Amino acid sequence: MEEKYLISGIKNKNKVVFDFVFNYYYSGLCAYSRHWADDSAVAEDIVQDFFVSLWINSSKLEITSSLKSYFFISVKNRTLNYLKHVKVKEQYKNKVIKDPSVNYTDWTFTESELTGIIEKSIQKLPPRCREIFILNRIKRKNNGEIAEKLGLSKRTVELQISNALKFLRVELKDFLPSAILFWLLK
Amino acid sequence: MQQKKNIDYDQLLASYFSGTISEEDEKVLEEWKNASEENLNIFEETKKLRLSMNLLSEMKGYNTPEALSNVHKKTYVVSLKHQNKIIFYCQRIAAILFFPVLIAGAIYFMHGNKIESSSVAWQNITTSGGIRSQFQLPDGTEVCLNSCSSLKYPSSFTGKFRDVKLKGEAFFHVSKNKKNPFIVHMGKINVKVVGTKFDAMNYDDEKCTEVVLTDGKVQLMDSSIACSKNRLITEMKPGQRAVYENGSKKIILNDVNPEKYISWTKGQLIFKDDSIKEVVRKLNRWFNVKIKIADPEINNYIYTATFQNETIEQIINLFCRTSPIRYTVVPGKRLKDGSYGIKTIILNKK
Repeated sequence: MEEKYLISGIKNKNKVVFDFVFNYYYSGLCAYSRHWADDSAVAEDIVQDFFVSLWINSSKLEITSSLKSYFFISVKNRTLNYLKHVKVKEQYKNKVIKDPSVNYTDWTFTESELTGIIEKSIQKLPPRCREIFILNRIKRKNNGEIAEKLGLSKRTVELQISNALKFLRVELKDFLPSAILFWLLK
Repeated sequence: MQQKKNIDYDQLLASYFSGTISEEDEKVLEEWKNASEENLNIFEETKKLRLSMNLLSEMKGYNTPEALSNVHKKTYVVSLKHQNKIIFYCQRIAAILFFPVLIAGAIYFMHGNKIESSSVAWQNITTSGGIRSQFQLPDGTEVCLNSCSSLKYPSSFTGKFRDVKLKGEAFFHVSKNKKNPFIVHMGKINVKVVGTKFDAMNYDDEKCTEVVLTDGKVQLMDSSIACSKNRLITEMKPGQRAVYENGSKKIILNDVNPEKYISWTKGQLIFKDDSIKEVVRKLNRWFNVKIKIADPEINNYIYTATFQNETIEQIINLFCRTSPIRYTVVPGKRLKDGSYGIKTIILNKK
């Protein structure tokens, strides 16, 4: 996935390269945009418009940093621009603004990257623990259902999940950017 | 770690993590979190984990293939709207300038003739149906010649221009030489280049002449105009396709994706939203076969597919399985010299 090759492919309107880049970055960029746009349909429109513009103006493309940072920064700017132009007024005042303490700017992940990081760590869990964790977190079963399914006590299931949590949060802590702005510490 | 008795902070964190924490418990957790730096770190790590897993499930919810086809539609449509130029080339203008130009034109004309009858030997490479050929010209220009085509070129390029004559279709990668422009003579149109990559099509049985530019810059010239100054019809940029309709004096310039038009050079046959007439035309040439459309109703079907190394039967089979068409093969007749004529495939509505 050499960057130079991808950038020149885009500049030359190489459809194979363009499609590849789109498929790789699209979902990550949408999730990124949605942090500010708060609406996934709006986020998708913004990201699609970005790619349309990328294709049309491909010959003028100038990337000094990396392709990835160019994409994420552009999408963020477009999203913020969109917010400026849209009258959000009432909606914004009434809605509980989610997590003002989280700084999303650094959460620039593609789906592929995030999958890699998370799945790799989950694989490191001991088998039983992993099974229970997956049922709880990914298959979305509640503890009662899991206990019944595996013939365990609810308490055991709860314990396994919190063990999994302990393990994973330590595993992942260096891979993920900060979630809290530290001046919240009293 | 400061802990109140009977409160299982691991469980609180777990319920925070899965988003099932009650408001009450959330307050308790908040207190615990602010009690020490260690607690805060643990809370932060849990929060990161929660955010990242939420983020991942959100990402998986986006329909990327659908979005991509939206983008394809928009880029095609937008480029048509912005870039579709119809250039009317009018010969009357030339007539007005005829007199002053006459002498200069005559001189050029003689020069033009001279090119052909000079002592340089002319090579002629021809391909028959189903054959493609790749070779180099004396100046290093690489040529990929499609089936049923011929290219005439000199054994060495002397003189100001590098002239070649094309019938059929070829993809050129012209070696750069600004002093000696490369000119492809294609009947009504000449393509003038300096160093670039483009596909040129000029079949006798077609109603139009086409040029698709992938790299560099070319100029399209009217070959019937004697004076070189007045010959320029238009310049082309990469990603453009020019279609000259042999009947009218019109050239249509479009922005296209060149891949579709040059895939044949890589041994790939690409159809993208092509009508069956278009598909049949390409297949006839590619495979040296004669496909007849017996039911005119079939003409409306549109196809998108990419082929590489499939036989003609495999391809026709595929079309027949994905649309209401059936086919019949009529093998080639045995000719007097012992060889066989080309086979015919008849397409009917199922």
